Amino acid sequence: MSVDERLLADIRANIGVTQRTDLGEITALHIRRYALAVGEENPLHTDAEHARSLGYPDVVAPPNMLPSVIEWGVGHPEAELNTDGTTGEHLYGVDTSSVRTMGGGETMTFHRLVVAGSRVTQTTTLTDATLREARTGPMIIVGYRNQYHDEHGTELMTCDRTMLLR
Amino acid sequence: MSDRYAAISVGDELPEQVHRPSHVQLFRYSAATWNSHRIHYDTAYARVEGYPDVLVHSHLHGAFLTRLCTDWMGPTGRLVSLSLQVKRFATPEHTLTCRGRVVGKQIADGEGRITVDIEEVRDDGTVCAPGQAVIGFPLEATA
Repeated sequence: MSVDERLLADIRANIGVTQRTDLGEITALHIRRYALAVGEENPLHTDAEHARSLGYPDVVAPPNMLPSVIEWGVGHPEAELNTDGTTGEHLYGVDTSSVRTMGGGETMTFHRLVVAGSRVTQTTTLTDATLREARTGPMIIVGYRNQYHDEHGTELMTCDRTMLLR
Repeated sequence: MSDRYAAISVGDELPEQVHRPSHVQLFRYSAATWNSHRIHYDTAYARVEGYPDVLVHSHLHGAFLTRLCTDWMGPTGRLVSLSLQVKRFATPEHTLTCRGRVVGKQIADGEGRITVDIEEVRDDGTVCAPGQAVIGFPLEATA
Protein backbone atom coordinates (compact mmCIF):
# COMPACT_ATOMS: atom_id res chain seq x y z
CA MET A 1 0.00 0.00 0.00
CA SER A 2 1.11 3.55 -0.54
CA VAL A 3 -0.08 6.73 1.08
CA ASP A 4 -3.23 8.32 -0.28
CA GLU A 5 -5.82 11.07 0.25
CA ARG A 6 -7.71 8.94 2.77
CA LEU A 7 -4.70 8.52 5.06
CA LEU A 8 -3.93 12.20 4.62
CA ALA A 9 -7.47 13.09 5.76
CA ASP A 10 -7.11 10.81 8.84
CA ILE A 11 -3.86 12.53 9.79
CA ARG A 12 -5.12 16.03 9.04
CA ALA A 13 -8.09 15.45 11.37
CA ASN A 14 -5.54 15.60 14.21
CA ILE A 15 -3.92 18.89 13.26
CA GLY A 16 -3.77 21.08 16.35
CA VAL A 17 -4.24 18.17 18.72
CA THR A 18 -1.76 18.33 21.60
CA GLN A 19 -0.39 15.44 23.60
CA ARG A 20 1.62 15.79 26.83
CA THR A 21 4.07 13.13 27.91
CA ASP A 22 6.07 12.94 31.13
CA LEU A 23 9.50 11.76 29.98
CA GLY A 24 10.64 11.23 33.55
CA GLU A 25 14.10 11.97 34.89
CA ILE A 26 16.93 12.45 32.40
CA THR A 27 19.64 10.41 34.06
CA ALA A 28 23.41 10.85 33.88
CA LEU A 29 23.72 7.26 32.63
CA HIS A 30 21.34 7.93 29.76
CA ILE A 31 23.24 11.10 28.83
CA ARG A 32 26.58 9.27 28.94
CA ARG A 33 25.28 6.40 26.83
CA TYR A 34 23.82 8.80 24.29
CA ALA A 35 27.10 10.76 24.17
CA LEU A 36 29.05 7.54 23.63
CA ALA A 37 26.68 6.41 20.87
CA VAL A 38 27.00 9.64 18.88
CA GLY A 39 30.79 9.78 19.39
CA GLU A 40 30.63 12.92 21.49
CA GLU A 41 33.97 13.62 23.22
CA ASN A 42 33.13 16.85 25.07
CA PRO A 43 33.57 16.01 28.80
CA LEU A 44 30.66 18.34 29.62
CA HIS A 45 28.45 15.39 28.65
CA THR A 46 30.36 12.64 30.45
CA ASP A 47 32.43 14.05 33.34
CA ALA A 48 30.46 15.47 36.28
CA GLU A 49 33.57 17.16 37.74
CA HIS A 50 34.20 18.97 34.45
CA ALA A 51 30.52 19.98 34.25
CA ARG A 52 30.69 21.36 37.81
CA SER A 53 33.81 23.37 36.92
CA LEU A 54 31.66 25.10 34.28
CA GLY A 55 28.87 25.79 36.77
CA TYR A 56 26.50 22.90 36.09
CA PRO A 57 25.42 20.59 38.92
CA ASP A 58 25.97 17.43 36.83
CA VAL A 59 26.64 16.26 33.28
CA VAL A 60 24.73 18.07 30.54
CA ALA A 61 22.85 16.42 27.66
CA PRO A 62 24.10 17.16 24.14
CA PRO A 63 21.71 19.83 22.81
CA ASN A 64 19.76 17.61 20.41
CA MET A 65 19.44 14.59 22.70
CA LEU A 66 15.85 15.23 23.84
CA PRO A 67 14.15 14.98 20.42
CA SER A 68 16.42 12.11 19.38
CA VAL A 69 15.11 9.65 21.94
CA ILE A 70 12.14 7.89 20.36
CA GLU A 71 10.75 6.22 23.48
CA TRP A 72 11.35 7.35 27.07
CA GLY A 73 9.25 4.66 28.69
CA VAL A 74 9.27 0.90 28.43
CA GLY A 75 8.02 0.77 24.84
CA HIS A 76 5.73 -1.77 23.23
CA PRO A 77 5.82 -5.55 22.86
CA GLU A 78 7.20 -6.68 19.50
CA ALA A 79 3.78 -7.97 18.43
CA GLU A 80 2.44 -4.41 18.59
CA LEU A 81 5.10 -2.91 16.32
CA ASN A 82 4.50 -2.08 12.66
CA THR A 83 6.32 -4.06 9.96
CA ASP A 84 9.10 -1.47 9.93
CA GLY A 85 9.57 -1.83 13.70
CA THR A 86 8.05 1.54 14.62
CA THR A 87 4.94 2.16 16.68
CA GLY A 88 3.43 5.01 14.66
CA GLU A 89 2.46 6.40 18.06
CA HIS A 90 3.36 9.97 17.11
CA LEU A 91 0.50 9.86 14.59
CA TYR A 92 -2.14 9.84 17.34
CA GLY A 93 -3.53 6.39 16.68
CA VAL A 94 -3.90 6.83 12.91
CA ASP A 95 -3.24 3.43 11.33
CA THR A 96 0.11 3.67 9.58
CA SER A 97 0.89 -0.04 9.88
CA SER A 98 1.43 -0.50 6.14
CA VAL A 99 3.32 2.67 5.29
CA ARG A 100 7.01 3.46 5.62
CA THR A 101 8.06 6.29 7.89
CA MET A 102 11.31 8.24 7.88
CA GLY A 103 12.62 11.38 9.56
CA GLY A 104 12.89 14.31 7.18
CA GLY A 105 14.65 16.85 9.33
CA GLU A 106 14.03 19.31 12.10
CA THR A 107 14.43 22.84 13.34
CA MET A 108 15.52 23.02 16.97
CA THR A 109 15.53 26.13 19.14
CA PHE A 110 17.47 25.79 22.39
CA HIS A 111 16.55 27.75 25.49
CA ARG A 112 18.27 25.98 28.36
CA LEU A 113 20.74 23.08 28.57
CA VAL A 114 19.39 19.91 30.13
CA VAL A 115 21.29 18.79 33.23
CA ALA A 116 21.16 15.19 34.52
CA GLY A 117 18.46 14.83 37.13
CA SER A 118 15.98 17.12 35.35
CA ARG A 119 12.44 15.84 34.98
CA VAL A 120 11.17 16.67 31.51
CA THR A 121 7.72 16.97 29.97
CA GLN A 122 7.18 16.84 26.22
CA THR A 123 4.23 18.55 24.58
CA THR A 124 3.61 17.40 21.01
CA THR A 125 1.33 19.11 18.52
CA LEU A 126 0.59 17.91 15.01
CA THR A 127 1.03 21.06 12.96
CA ASP A 128 0.60 20.09 9.31
CA ALA A 129 0.25 17.25 6.82
CA THR A 130 0.45 17.47 3.03
CA LEU A 131 0.50 14.94 0.20
CA ARG A 132 2.85 15.35 -2.72
CA GLU A 133 4.37 13.37 -5.55
CA ALA A 134 8.03 12.59 -4.80
CA ARG A 135 10.64 10.87 -6.97
CA THR A 136 9.70 7.56 -5.35
CA GLY A 137 5.90 8.02 -5.53
CA PRO A 138 3.30 9.71 -3.36
CA MET A 139 4.55 10.97 0.00
CA ILE A 140 2.81 12.53 3.00
CA ILE A 141 4.87 15.11 4.84
CA VAL A 142 3.82 15.48 8.47
CA GLY A 143 4.93 18.33 10.72
CA TYR A 144 5.09 18.24 14.52
CA ARG A 145 6.10 20.67 17.16
CA ASN A 146 7.67 19.18 20.28
CA GLN A 147 8.15 21.49 23.25
CA TYR A 148 10.15 20.42 26.28
CA HIS A 149 9.88 21.82 29.80
CA ASP A 150 11.56 20.87 33.06
CA GLU A 151 9.85 20.23 36.41
CA HIS A 152 9.88 23.97 37.18
CA GLY A 153 8.03 24.79 33.96
CA THR A 154 11.17 26.26 32.37
CA GLU A 155 11.17 25.89 28.61
CA LEU A 156 14.19 23.84 27.55
CA MET A 157 13.82 23.60 23.79
CA THR A 158 11.42 23.44 20.87
CA CYS A 159 11.75 21.04 17.96
CA ASP A 160 9.74 21.37 14.74
CA ARG A 161 10.09 17.98 13.12
CA THR A 162 9.17 16.61 9.69
CA MET A 163 8.22 12.98 9.12
CA LEU A 164 7.93 11.43 5.67
CA LEU A 165 5.35 8.70 5.03
CA ARG A 166 5.52 6.57 1.88
CA MET B 1 35.21 37.77 28.90
CA SER B 2 35.24 36.66 25.30
CA ASP B 3 35.82 38.83 22.26
CA ARG B 4 35.15 35.76 20.19
CA TYR B 5 32.20 37.38 18.45
CA ALA B 6 34.33 40.31 17.25
CA ALA B 7 37.00 37.93 15.95
CA ILE B 8 34.61 35.98 13.72
CA SER B 9 34.09 37.09 10.12
CA VAL B 10 31.55 36.18 7.47
CA GLY B 11 33.20 33.56 5.28
CA ASP B 12 35.09 31.88 8.14
CA GLU B 13 34.97 28.11 7.89
CA LEU B 14 34.46 25.74 10.80
CA PRO B 15 37.00 22.92 11.13
CA GLU B 16 35.66 19.90 9.22
CA GLN B 17 34.67 16.80 11.14
CA VAL B 18 34.70 13.34 9.57
CA HIS B 19 32.48 10.46 10.70
CA ARG B 20 32.52 6.83 9.65
CA PRO B 21 29.34 5.44 11.22
CA SER B 22 29.70 1.70 11.76
CA HIS B 23 27.01 -0.96 12.16
CA VAL B 24 27.90 -1.07 15.86
CA GLN B 25 27.46 2.69 16.20
CA LEU B 26 24.07 2.59 14.46
CA PHE B 27 22.95 -0.28 16.70
CA ARG B 28 24.07 1.45 19.88
CA TYR B 29 22.47 4.70 18.76
CA SER B 30 19.19 2.81 18.19
CA ALA B 31 19.55 1.30 21.67
CA ALA B 32 20.41 4.56 23.43
CA THR B 33 17.43 6.30 21.81
CA TRP B 34 15.15 3.19 22.11
CA ASN B 35 14.47 3.42 18.37
CA SER B 36 13.14 0.10 17.05
CA HIS B 37 12.93 1.12 13.36
CA ARG B 38 14.35 -1.91 11.51
CA ILE B 39 15.88 0.22 8.79
CA HIS B 40 18.70 1.10 11.19
CA TYR B 41 19.78 -2.42 12.26
CA ASP B 42 18.20 -5.00 9.92
CA THR B 43 20.07 -5.06 6.59
CA ALA B 44 17.61 -7.51 5.01
CA TYR B 45 14.74 -5.17 5.88
CA ALA B 46 16.64 -2.11 4.58
CA ARG B 47 17.03 -3.92 1.25
CA VAL B 48 13.27 -4.53 1.13
CA GLU B 49 12.89 -0.75 1.26
CA GLY B 50 15.38 -0.46 -1.61
CA TYR B 51 18.52 0.61 0.29
CA PRO B 52 21.91 -1.13 0.03
CA ASP B 53 22.33 -1.40 3.81
CA VAL B 54 21.04 -0.03 7.12
CA LEU B 55 20.63 3.74 7.28
CA VAL B 56 22.12 6.42 9.49
CA HIS B 57 19.29 7.85 11.65
CA SER B 58 18.01 11.32 10.78
CA HIS B 59 18.73 12.42 14.36
CA LEU B 60 22.27 11.02 14.16
CA HIS B 61 22.89 13.24 11.11
CA GLY B 62 21.61 15.98 13.42
CA ALA B 63 23.99 14.91 16.20
CA PHE B 64 27.00 15.11 13.85
CA LEU B 65 26.00 18.60 12.73
CA THR B 66 25.30 19.66 16.31
CA ARG B 67 28.78 18.55 17.37
CA LEU B 68 30.34 20.45 14.44
CA CYS B 69 28.85 23.60 15.97
CA THR B 70 29.36 22.90 19.68
CA ASP B 71 33.02 21.88 19.25
CA TRP B 72 33.67 25.06 17.26
CA MET B 73 31.90 27.41 19.66
CA GLY B 74 33.48 26.01 22.87
CA PRO B 75 32.25 26.69 26.41
CA THR B 76 31.62 30.43 25.85
CA GLY B 77 29.23 29.80 22.96
CA ARG B 78 25.55 28.95 23.14
CA LEU B 79 23.76 26.99 20.46
CA VAL B 80 20.66 29.10 19.81
CA SER B 81 19.12 27.04 17.02
CA LEU B 82 19.96 24.36 14.51
CA SER B 83 17.96 23.15 11.56
CA LEU B 84 18.66 20.39 9.09
CA GLN B 85 16.91 18.62 6.26
CA VAL B 86 17.74 15.00 5.57
CA LYS B 87 17.92 14.93 1.76
CA ARG B 88 19.77 11.70 1.00
CA PHE B 89 20.51 8.55 2.96
CA ALA B 90 23.84 7.33 4.33
CA THR B 91 24.94 3.82 5.28
CA PRO B 92 28.03 2.42 7.07
CA GLU B 93 29.65 2.32 3.61
CA HIS B 94 29.83 6.10 3.64
CA THR B 95 32.30 8.51 5.13
CA LEU B 96 30.47 11.66 6.23
CA THR B 97 32.12 15.06 6.38
CA CYS B 98 30.49 17.92 8.27
CA ARG B 99 31.35 21.45 7.20
CA GLY B 100 30.22 24.92 8.15
CA ARG B 101 30.72 28.46 6.95
CA VAL B 102 29.82 31.70 8.71
CA VAL B 103 27.22 33.57 6.64
CA GLY B 104 25.98 36.23 9.05
CA LYS B 105 26.61 38.21 12.25
CA GLN B 106 24.14 40.21 14.25
CA ILE B 107 23.55 41.41 17.79
CA ALA B 108 20.25 40.22 19.25
CA ASP B 109 18.91 39.80 22.80
CA GLY B 110 22.17 41.08 24.27
CA GLU B 111 24.45 38.55 22.60
CA GLY B 112 26.46 38.35 19.42
CA ARG B 113 24.87 35.85 17.08
CA ILE B 114 26.68 34.02 14.32
CA THR B 115 24.72 32.33 11.53
CA VAL B 116 26.45 29.32 10.04
CA ASP B 117 25.47 27.34 6.92
CA ILE B 118 26.19 23.71 7.71
CA GLU B 119 26.16 20.53 5.68
CA GLU B 120 26.97 16.88 5.97
CA VAL B 121 28.38 15.41 2.76
CA ARG B 122 28.98 11.80 1.70
CA ASP B 123 32.34 10.79 0.24
CA ASP B 124 30.73 10.61 -3.23
CA GLY B 125 29.98 14.33 -2.95
CA THR B 126 26.25 13.92 -2.26
CA VAL B 127 24.91 16.34 0.34
CA CYS B 128 22.99 14.21 2.87
CA ALA B 129 21.90 16.96 5.22
CA PRO B 130 22.14 20.71 4.64
CA GLY B 131 21.15 23.06 7.40
CA GLN B 132 21.79 26.24 9.31
CA ALA B 133 22.76 27.03 12.89
CA VAL B 134 22.78 30.16 15.01
CA ILE B 135 25.39 30.42 17.78
CA GLY B 136 25.44 33.13 20.42
CA PHE B 137 28.53 34.58 22.13
CA PRO B 138 28.68 37.01 25.05
CA LEU B 139 29.49 40.59 24.03
CA GLU B 140 32.35 42.61 25.44
CA ALA B 141 31.12 44.89 28.22
CA THR B 142 30.36 48.38 26.93
CA ALA B 143 30.19 51.66 28.78
